Amino acid sequence: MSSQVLFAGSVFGADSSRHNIETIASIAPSTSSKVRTWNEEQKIYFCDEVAKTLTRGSGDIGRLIRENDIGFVLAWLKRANIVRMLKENRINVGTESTALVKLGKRNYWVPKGTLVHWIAGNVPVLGIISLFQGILTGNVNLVKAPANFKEVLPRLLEFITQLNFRYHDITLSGSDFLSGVCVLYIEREDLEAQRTLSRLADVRVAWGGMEAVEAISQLPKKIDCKDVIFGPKVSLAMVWTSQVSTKETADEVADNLANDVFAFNQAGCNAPHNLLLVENEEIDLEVFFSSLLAAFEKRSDRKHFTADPADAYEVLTKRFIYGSSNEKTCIASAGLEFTLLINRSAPAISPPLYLRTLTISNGGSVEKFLDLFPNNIQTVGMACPDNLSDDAMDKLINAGVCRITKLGQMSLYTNPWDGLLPMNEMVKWVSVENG
Amino acid sequence: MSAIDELLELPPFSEHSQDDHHFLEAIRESIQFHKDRCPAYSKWLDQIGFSFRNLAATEDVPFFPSAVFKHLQLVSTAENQKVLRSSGTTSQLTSQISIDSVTSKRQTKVLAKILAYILGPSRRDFLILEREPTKGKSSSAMTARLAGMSGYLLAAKTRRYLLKGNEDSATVDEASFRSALRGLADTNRPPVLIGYTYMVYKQLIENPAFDIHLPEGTTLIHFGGWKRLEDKKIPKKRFNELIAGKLGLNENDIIDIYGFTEQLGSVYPSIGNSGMMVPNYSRVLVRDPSTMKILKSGEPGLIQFISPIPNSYPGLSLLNDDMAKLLVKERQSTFHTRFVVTGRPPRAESRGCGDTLPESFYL
Repeated sequence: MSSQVLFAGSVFGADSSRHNIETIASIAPSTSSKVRTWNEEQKIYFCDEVAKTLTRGSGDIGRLIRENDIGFVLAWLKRANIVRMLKENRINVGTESTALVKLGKRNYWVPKGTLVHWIAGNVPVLGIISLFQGILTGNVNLVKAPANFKEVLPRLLEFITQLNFRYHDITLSGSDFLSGVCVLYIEREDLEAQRTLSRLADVRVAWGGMEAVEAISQLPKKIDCKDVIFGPKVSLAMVWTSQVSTKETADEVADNLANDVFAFNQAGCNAPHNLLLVENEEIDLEVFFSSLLAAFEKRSDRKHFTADPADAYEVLTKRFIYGSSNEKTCIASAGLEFTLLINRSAPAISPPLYLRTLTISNGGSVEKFLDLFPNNIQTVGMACPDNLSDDAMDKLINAGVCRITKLGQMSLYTNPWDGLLPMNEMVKWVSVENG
Repeated sequence: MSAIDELLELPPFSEHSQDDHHFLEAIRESIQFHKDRCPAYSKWLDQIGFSFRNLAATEDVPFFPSAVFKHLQLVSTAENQKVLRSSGTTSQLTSQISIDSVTSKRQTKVLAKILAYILGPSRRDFLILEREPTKGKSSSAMTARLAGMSGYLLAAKTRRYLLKGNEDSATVDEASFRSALRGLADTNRPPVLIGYTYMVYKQLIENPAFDIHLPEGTTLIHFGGWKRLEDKKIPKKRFNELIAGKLGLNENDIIDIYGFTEQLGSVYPSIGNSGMMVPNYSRVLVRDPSTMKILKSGEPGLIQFISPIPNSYPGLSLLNDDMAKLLVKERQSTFHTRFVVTGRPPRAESRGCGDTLPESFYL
C-alpha cells in the first residue's frame, strides 16, 4: 500500500482506520477544525497544559520525547512563547489592529482553510511546530510525515487526543484540539497521492532541501494557494576576533557556537556550516581553536550519532584536502562526530558538508566576507563588539540575510522565520469598514 | 628484492590462508616511499598523527577517499608516463592519476596473473562489445571505456569488435558476430566475450532482436559497475540468469570484475553469483560510516582497499564511496575473503531545510 492514514482527527469521521487519501480528500474541503470555536486564551491555556503534561511524561511518552528531541516542541508550547509568537505574527489582538482601529477600521482574520504540510525527515521537530501553528490558526491540517517520523508523530498526537483540561467552567479536550489534523504517509513514488494532497491545499507548508521543495512546488495546486517554503537556506556564524581574545571569552563563544552546530545535527537551515572570523584585533587564534575543539568534543560524547555514508565520504575527502595543505588545517574526531576545517589562506565560504562540520575562514573584513555571501542566507549568528556600527549591520541586512542573532541562539525558533511571519501566511485578513 | 616485489610474486589466490605479515611489510615500504616523496601525503600523515609504531594490522593503515584525486593531483615520482582519468559517473569531476613505468609494470603483472587464474594460462579469442576504435574519431566516453578495457585485452589472442553504427546508436553487428564465431569454430578454443556491464545488458539482454547462442565454455567478462542497472532494478542474480538463458552460458562462466581507476591492477573478480574475490596483492576492509571502525562480516559499510601497487601516486589505501559487506568471518584468510558491493550509499529520504544550494552559489 503506497499511502496510509496514520492519524485522523474527529472531523474526518469516527473510524479513521478505514480512511485512505481519497476519503480524506473528500472530507477535508467541507469541514473545519473545532479549534475555530476556541478563543485565544483557551488555545494558549491548552498548549501550556500540554507542555506541562508532556514535560512530566514518563514511560512510553517520556521515552518518545527524549529519543526524538521533542523537548524543543514542549518549550515552544509554553504560555510565554505562544503569547510572544501570536504577538509577533500580529494575529492575537482580538482580531483588531491597533493602527487600523485609529482609522476607524477593523481587521479580522479567518483560517485560510486546508493546510498541507510536508515535513522534512532531518528536522521533523520544526515541522511539528508549523503543524501547531496551523492548528492555532484554526485550519484543517493534512501532514505528509517523513518515513522516520511515521510512528513518532501519530503516537504524540494520540497521546494529546486523550488529554482534557478544565478551563473555568468548560473542558478543553485534546480530541477537539486535534480534530482537524490528519497525518498521512505517502511513498515517494506515489506521485498521484502527492498530487491529490497538493490540490487540496489552501496553503502548502514545506520544510526541506532543494530537491524536496522543488518537487513539491511542481505539484498541481489551487490558483490562490499560498506556498510557505522553509528552506533551502544556509546559515553561518561570524565572530570578531576581539570577542575571543581571552581564554574565557573564547570558551564562551566556542560553547555557544557548538550548541548551534549540534542542534538538530546541523540538518536545519538555521545551523551554521561556516565560521567567518572578522579580524578587528590581532589575537592568537590557536587559543580559540582549542576552545572550539573542547566544546565540540564535549557535545559529541553526549549521544549516539549516525552518519549518512555519502556525507561521511564527502567530509573525509575534505579532511584530506585540508589536512594535506600548508594553508589549511583539519581538526577532527576519530570517527565522523565532528570536523573543523580551517582555511588560513583567504576569506571563503564553503557549501555545507553536514556531520557537524564547520569550515572556518579567517583574515577577512566584514566587507570581504559580504562579497562572498550566497544569496540565500537564513541566519547569521554573531559574536561581535557592542559598538558594531549601524553601517555594518545595514550591510548584513542588505546582503539578503533573513535573521541576525547572537551565537548560541541560532536554533531558537523565532518569528519572523525565513523572512516570513508563518501564522500570518496561514490566515486570511478580512477588513470591515462600516463607518 | 623489495617487500612489494616479493608480494607481487605470490599467486593471485592461495590455497592456504595468508597471514598479513608480508603484506604489512609491503605496505610499510609503500607508506615510507610516498611519505618521502609526496609532501601532501606526508603532511596529512603528520596531521592525523600516523606513526609506524602503531601500524600493527591492516586496519591501522591510514586511508582517505579515492575522490581526493578528483580535487588534488598527488604525485610521488617525477616520471609521468601517462595520466588516467576516471569516468566521473556521479559528478562532473574526474580523478587524475599519474602513472609511471613502475606502477604500469606492477598493474600489468598483477592483472595478467588474475586473468590467467580466471581464464587459464593460454591466451583466448576476445569478442569485444564495443565499436572498433578509429584513431581520432572516438568520443571521450568511448575512449575512456576502451582505456578501462585495455588491461583485460592483454589476455587476448585475437580481437573482434562487435558493435556497428555511430556511437549514440551503436548496435550489435550480428553478421559480424556470427562470422567471428564461425571463424573460431575450428580452433576448439571457447572465446571470451567482454564488455561493460551496462552495455552487455543493453546490447544483449534488452535487445529483442539479438539471438545468438555462444559456444560451450565461453566466458563472459563484464565490468564497470551496477549503478545503471540498479536504476532498472536488475540485481546481479537476475542479470546472470538472463545472460545464461539468452546466450546459453553456464552461470559460472560469467565473471563480474570490480576495479577502479584510482587503484588499477588489483581487480576483484566474482564468478557466477559468488562474492568478489580479494587477491593476495590487496586487502579489503569495511568500515562503519559513522565511527570508521572495522565492521564484522555481513555488516554493510564503506569499503577500503589496500594495495602497494601504486608507485607514482599515494593511492595505496583508499576508501570508495560504494557500500559493501564482507562475506566471511576469517578476514585473515585472503583466499577466502570475498565481498559484495551493495550499491552507492543512499541519501536520507528527505534532507533537512539546510540541504540547500548547488555549489555554484558559492564563490
